[in-house]
Amino acid sequence: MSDPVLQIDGIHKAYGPVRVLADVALTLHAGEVRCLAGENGSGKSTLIKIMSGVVPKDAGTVRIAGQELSNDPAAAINAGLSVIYQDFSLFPNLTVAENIAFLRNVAHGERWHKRGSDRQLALNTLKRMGVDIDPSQPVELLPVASKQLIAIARALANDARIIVMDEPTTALTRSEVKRLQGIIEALKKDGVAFLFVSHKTEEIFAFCDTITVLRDGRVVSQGGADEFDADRLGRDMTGRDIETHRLPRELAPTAAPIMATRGLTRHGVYSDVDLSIAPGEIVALVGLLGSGRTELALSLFGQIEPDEGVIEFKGTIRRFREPLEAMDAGIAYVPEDRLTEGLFLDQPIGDNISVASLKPSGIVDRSGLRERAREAVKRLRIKTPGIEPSVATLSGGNQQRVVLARWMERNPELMILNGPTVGVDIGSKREIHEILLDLRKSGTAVLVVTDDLGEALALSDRILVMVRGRITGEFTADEIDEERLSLSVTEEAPAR
Amino acid sequence: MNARRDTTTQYTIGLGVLALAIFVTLTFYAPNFLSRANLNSMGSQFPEFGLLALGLLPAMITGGIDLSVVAIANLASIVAALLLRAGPEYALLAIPAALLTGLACGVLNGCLIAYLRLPPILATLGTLQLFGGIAIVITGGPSITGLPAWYSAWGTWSIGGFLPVPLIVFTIVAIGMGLFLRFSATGMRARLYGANPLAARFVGIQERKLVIKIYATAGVIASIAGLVILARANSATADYGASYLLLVILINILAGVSPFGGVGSTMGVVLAVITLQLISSGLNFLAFTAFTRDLFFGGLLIAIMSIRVIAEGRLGDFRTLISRRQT
Repeated sequence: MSDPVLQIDGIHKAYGPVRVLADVALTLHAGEVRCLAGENGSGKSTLIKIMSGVVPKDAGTVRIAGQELSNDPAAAINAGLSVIYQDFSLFPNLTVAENIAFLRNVAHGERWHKRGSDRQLALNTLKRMGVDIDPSQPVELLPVASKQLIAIARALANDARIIVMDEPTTALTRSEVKRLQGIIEALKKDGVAFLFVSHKTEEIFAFCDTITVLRDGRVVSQGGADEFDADRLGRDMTGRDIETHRLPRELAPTAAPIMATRGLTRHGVYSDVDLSIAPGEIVALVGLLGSGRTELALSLFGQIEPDEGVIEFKGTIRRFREPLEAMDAGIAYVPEDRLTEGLFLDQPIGDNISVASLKPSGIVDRSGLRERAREAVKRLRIKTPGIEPSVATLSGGNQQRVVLARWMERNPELMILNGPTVGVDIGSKREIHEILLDLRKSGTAVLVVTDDLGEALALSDRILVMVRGRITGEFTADEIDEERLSLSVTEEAPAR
Repeated sequence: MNARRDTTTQYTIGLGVLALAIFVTLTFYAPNFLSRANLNSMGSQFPEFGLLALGLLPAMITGGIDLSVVAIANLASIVAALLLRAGPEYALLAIPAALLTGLACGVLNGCLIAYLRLPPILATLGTLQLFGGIAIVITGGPSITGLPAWYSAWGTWSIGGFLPVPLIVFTIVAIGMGLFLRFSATGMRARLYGANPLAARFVGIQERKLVIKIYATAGVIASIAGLVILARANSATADYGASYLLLVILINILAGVSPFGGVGSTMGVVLAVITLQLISSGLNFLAFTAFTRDLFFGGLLIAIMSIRVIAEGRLGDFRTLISRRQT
């Protein structure tokens, strides 16, 4: 085989006392699609950032076509390595052509903005990819799948020979994934190499020729995609046999729903949603990124107001204008992004737990609150020396337990959780699921919004599938398997 | 992950040690420093800008700022002065009216920030001009004098000859502020809101109510400062204390209050006020000219901020790590 276009050797990286990467090596040849597989927290993101020169490495080398790279993002870009992050990092206010030409203009040190040549470059690049998008459109008006194509085009326009893509199919429907596959096939023939970063089995086998598995900052296995199957991949990523079994539970007693919606609609986001959830039941709402699942969940918590339709809570029609009203009614909401929406990172663990149960005004009983926070820490087995350190000192799984503790202090009747185990290690994930099952047992209604189908199957009694703003399917968890669920989640939307 | 160490307590202790060191040094090198007259004069000088600094504190803890505190103080003192001069039958109303003026100004600030979502720095820059403008129009320029003797008397009174009344007012407000921030539900919410406004929304903190309460508090404390100024200066002017605004911000930064919100203590502000007063008096005693004061204040601020960043170690690393993880 020819010399590799990308060769990484002996990469070490630590943040303070925490080792993130240890002796990581990886090669990539022209025309190869390699998958960098690993759980959240395995060091994938750090490795990409080291490759692209954004984060300095402690030891090791990154070579592109034999040339060693310095720690400088511009050097990586000039050498032909482009990273497409999950959010694509496009400029929404600029046009397609300006976005595509941007990297190249920066790399070439262009002093002037040349509309004509930008446009020509964009047209040529899009033609090379076989994509038809109007180059004069502002990027913010485009659907997600097109934005991703623009991000690829931007890399190509700068003569990228290596394209790193972070979880590229998170927001794509089945036909969009097919289209992406076609484009990648064509570019492989041109000798472009791809590095896919992912933890999703379907995505990995759909695209990749070779696989490198990263666990706890080390390469644990690598080889051709044909040497792996889903079981082995799962085992290598997590270090244990994957739990695909449903968690044991007693049959849910049939009860009148605690919350029901009828014809709930928010224009352009979700429409005509009828759902119901009963006490002692875990319902999973699954859908792709951008399917409207998060917005629907936020509407049930009073964070977004629906345009039409009604929410019935405990038998009466309610309109929650702000989260406080939903909270007072007995609803809790664990947000999607723990770091920005869930936690007060610099603040003590105790305050992070007490914050939702503070009284409206007046003097608070600080020692009482601290006592309750301490008990919650013990009950949920949060690993910390005390409640005074800032919550930023905890691991992902323990941070999520702090958010759960916060809401359990209020004894909610309906708990909505958006992505409850994102970025949580596999052991904590299991324990968080058990906490939720305990809640179910005590009669709490639990709504889990997730794109982790395994989680939905393991955890829930009922699964609702959301595609482009509509509930398109409803299953009891034991009548469907992961494959069929995946098909139904990535299905094309019915015409609106 | 490299977690940020919380150095607030150590920092406050450090500030206390610094104040003490300056105090001891001056005691040795400036013979008249410990004289009753000097202590008394220092004790009646700093309460007015100390009060303004305390007013700014809650706004900074929520991640905002209130640039209009000095303007509010002046407007409140003018309102009080007008009523005091109007005759004995109105004089009793002077203090409540001044406090109400401060409250109204603060609520206006709060509403601009809460409802129009103006950035606090711009909203209060606007009201700084507005309140100053109102004050100028009312007075027409010159200061209002001719106050009844009983009012200005308290500005110079000292209980037992060494506890100036303004110092007592400052102490009471400082203790109140300390209790408010530490033990009230609103104070806790203000700190958490300052640490992460988005997360605050997700736990049902009512942003608008909270912001209005905080800026109203700032307005009332500023008006108390106005009453102290009125008593001490024996007159009310629209442009009194023009240099106080920057001094007051300086005090809060020196006190370890984070300009990004979520961190700050009343004890820190009290110590910072005392430190600056000691430095300022010390410079007088050691026969530096008044012109060197800014040089020392500025140098101290930069030195302390640098030491703090270095002491916290890899703070910068951590911040970038977090901001990257959010993308």
